[in-house]
Amino acid sequence: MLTHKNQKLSSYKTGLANRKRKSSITKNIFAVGSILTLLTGCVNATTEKENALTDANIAAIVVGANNIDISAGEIALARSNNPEIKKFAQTMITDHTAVLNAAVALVTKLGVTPVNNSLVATLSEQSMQHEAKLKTLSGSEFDKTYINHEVSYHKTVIGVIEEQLIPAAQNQELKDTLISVLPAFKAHLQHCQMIQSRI
Amino acid sequence: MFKLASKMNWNKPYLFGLFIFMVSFANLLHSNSSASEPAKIKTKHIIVISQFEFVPAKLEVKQGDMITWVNKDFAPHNITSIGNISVNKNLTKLSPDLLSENEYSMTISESFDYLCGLHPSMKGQIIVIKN
Repeated sequence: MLTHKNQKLSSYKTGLANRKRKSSITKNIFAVGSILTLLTGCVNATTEKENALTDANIAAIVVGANNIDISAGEIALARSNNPEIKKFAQTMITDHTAVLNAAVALVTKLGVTPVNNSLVATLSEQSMQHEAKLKTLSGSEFDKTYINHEVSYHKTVIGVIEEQLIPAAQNQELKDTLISVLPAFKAHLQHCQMIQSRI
Repeated sequence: MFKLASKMNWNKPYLFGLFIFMVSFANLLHSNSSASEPAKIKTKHIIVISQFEFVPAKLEVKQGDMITWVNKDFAPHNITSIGNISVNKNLTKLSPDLLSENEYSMTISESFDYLCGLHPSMKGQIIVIKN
């Protein structure tokens, strides 16, 4: 009986020791994780410094971002039956074409050739996935998916312009153009949020 | 009137009195007809459309004043009335779509709220104040 009790006690102690060891391992994993996160942050910061956006990158992002919304608008014009969605899509095509033309005219004047970077690649890839999805939808499902994406897309682009492009722009005329197109993106965001609340 | 005055015999005082009466009556008629004519343009105001805003967004004018909206944005805009503030809220497109640097003028007869039909977050207000 006593032996049995001792065995149980010994087993309990072993279990406790194992648990403590596991807990210690878990703590270590967290610690290593935290260090890795910090290191990654440092590496990212260094990479960002090394890969600071040039005016050529900014030009590529502006061209790419406008083309993406024009393309989505053309799909909405073709597939939606909702007059409000169609009207919004037409406004997106008109306005983003105007921004695109202004941007192309400016970079031509400045002699800047747009150079793609990882941000343009990411935006393009997401856009292709979104367009592929849109092409499988119809009716209210299409309208909701289109307008929800317009809301999130405009939020993203506004953030990129405000936090990355404007601070990074070297040429003052390019910086001024970026500042002047922001109200358009903000008006578009408010417009699609209005539609989003109704459909 | 002046031909009639030159042919008159001014030696007869009653004819002179009649002439004065006719001139006064004609002036009276003229002043009455001005009051009944539609209000003429009194002051010209300019509202600039810039950075997706109407500037000024709120404008006080007198009845008969003229407002010109000038689009300084790269994108087209229009003036769409949302009706008299207290009477109705029907959307009425007042101007065509104004491309960049285009303008639209109208004489104001009553107060109204308006927006850009293409970008409904852009809003403005015209308030007619008493003369």
